[in-house]
Amino acid sequence: MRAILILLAAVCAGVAPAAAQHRGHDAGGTPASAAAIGHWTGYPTLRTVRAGRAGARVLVSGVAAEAAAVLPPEGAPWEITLDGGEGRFEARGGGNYHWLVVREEGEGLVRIATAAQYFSGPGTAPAALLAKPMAELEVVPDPIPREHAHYRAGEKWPFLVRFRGQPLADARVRLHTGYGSRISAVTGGDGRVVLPIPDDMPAAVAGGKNAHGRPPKAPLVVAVEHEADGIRYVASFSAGYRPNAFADRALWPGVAFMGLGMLAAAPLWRRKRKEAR
Amino acid sequence: MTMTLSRVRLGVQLLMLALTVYGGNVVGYYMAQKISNALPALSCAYDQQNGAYCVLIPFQHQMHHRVGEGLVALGAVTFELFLPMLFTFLTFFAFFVVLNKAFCGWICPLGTLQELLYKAGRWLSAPLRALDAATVRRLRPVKWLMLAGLIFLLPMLAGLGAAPHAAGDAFCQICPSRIATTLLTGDAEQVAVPTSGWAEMGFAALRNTIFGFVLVAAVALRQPFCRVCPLLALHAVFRRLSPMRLVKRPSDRCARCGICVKACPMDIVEVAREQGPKAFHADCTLCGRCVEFCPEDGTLALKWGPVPLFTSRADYFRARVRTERPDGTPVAARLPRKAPGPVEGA
Repeated sequence: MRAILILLAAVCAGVAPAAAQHRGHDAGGTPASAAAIGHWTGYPTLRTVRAGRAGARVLVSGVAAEAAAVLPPEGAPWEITLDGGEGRFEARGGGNYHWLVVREEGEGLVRIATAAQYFSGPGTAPAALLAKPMAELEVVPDPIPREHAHYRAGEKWPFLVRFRGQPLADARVRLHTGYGSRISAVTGGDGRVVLPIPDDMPAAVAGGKNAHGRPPKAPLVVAVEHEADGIRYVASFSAGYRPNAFADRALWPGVAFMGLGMLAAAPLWRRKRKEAR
Repeated sequence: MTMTLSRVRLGVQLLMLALTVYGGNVVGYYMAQKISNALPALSCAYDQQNGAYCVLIPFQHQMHHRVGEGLVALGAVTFELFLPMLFTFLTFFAFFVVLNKAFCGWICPLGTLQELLYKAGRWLSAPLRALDAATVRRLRPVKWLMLAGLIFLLPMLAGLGAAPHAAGDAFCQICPSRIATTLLTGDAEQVAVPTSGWAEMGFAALRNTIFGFVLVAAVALRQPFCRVCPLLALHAVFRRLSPMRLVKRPSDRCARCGICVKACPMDIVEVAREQGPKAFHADCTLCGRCVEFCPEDGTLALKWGPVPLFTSRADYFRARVRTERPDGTPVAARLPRKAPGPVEGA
């Protein structure tokens, strides 16, 4: 009972900063610092910014396209118009993740940028969506971070590279981050590669919070290039990543509080005199 | 080895512990692939390998993001605000109606871990602390306060902007299952205290302290967290709507006996004192120990509708107490230690 009262008192003390935390809800979940970072990669990127509960803005860079394809987890795909590399779409049907593709075809060169946008709606898992080919060359998260999960610095995540629907072996996959990290690895026989998310966010950024009280996001792109039939394909998957899980956490105080709880329960282990005899 | 109800339950509990903590590796990684997103047990969403989500997660999220924020946006209460909550409730109820409060006694991973710690304590002959009736009576309202305050009120206040975001999932913030299940997957992140805000820091400090307390207390005291768990309260509200229940036939001997109370991990005295539906108390987890340790034929029974699943029997009781006392202490462990004999060849 006392613990609950203390908790309620602590919450009441936090009421003033609480209102400030509730501004700009719709911006939640976007790589907000992307704009501040400026030009950070030569690969095509496709950034999404959540706009409302079921809508998102689309921002394309490095691909000259007038339309983007939206592939929902349920139902038929559709196209949205891009104006100066920007567009907007609303989620359709059930399912959380919508997959976006923009494509530019030039002389001997095809550039493809993809991204996934999460909506908090019930429905089909994205497993089937990600399993079907959506472009000639593609780099697909396998799996994509589920609800309550994100790409975070210091973690390792698998990606699958497909060309014309088949896993592409021995392809060099490159990961660029908004904070300048450049890493690469080669796919195995099954077209899969596991990439570490670089822990490169400056401490001042990593320790902050966005408008919704969540850790900041920075942009990353995972890209692959492949040549076939005299055509060079460049494909990318854009996403955001968050700081290292322990960037604004301290383990030892946690262990100390656990010890405090253990200490509080220790008298229960004391043998009563009668019992000891 | 004799097949007792307790052994069957332990087998189910261990299977469910594996399913709730690691089941995502089998059923699927994404939310839509889980067994349920409204399971009536503390299956934690912070565990990236879990097989199902605890029902308290969507309830808190809906109070925070739908009801609280919705009221701010609309300035009115509409049916649409509560529609997601209705679907969550229906999903929860679809599971709950089958097993009722047995979700606590048979499925919940935190309940299982506390029982395993208590068993370890009995085997190691650690001191036993049974709560007296007055303490039990004082503790009982806490679970209702937890349900009202941490599942509904604080998340809604967070949505209204009157409480910090951390209070948006106030119960998850202090739930010891969050630490227990993630530690079982080798993830220490939930033990670490956030340093970015006072509310987050306070919640984490409380969570770790509660976890540490439960970890040590459970060795000497049966089910310390279950007694204040808001899920126990949520189950209690709907326990009369499920065909699964504890049934008691009136008996004059119960007032003089009371072995069932000693066997009950929640120290429910009503199972001996009351008759009929009142014996199936709000705190009951349908573990069936009272039925196992009832020495009278047919006085207590676990029933699913008209179908008796397990009924008390005198011969079963006699066999049961030969191996285990009602408080869970193995009989062999309570035998006086033999004095060391003479060393051969001395």
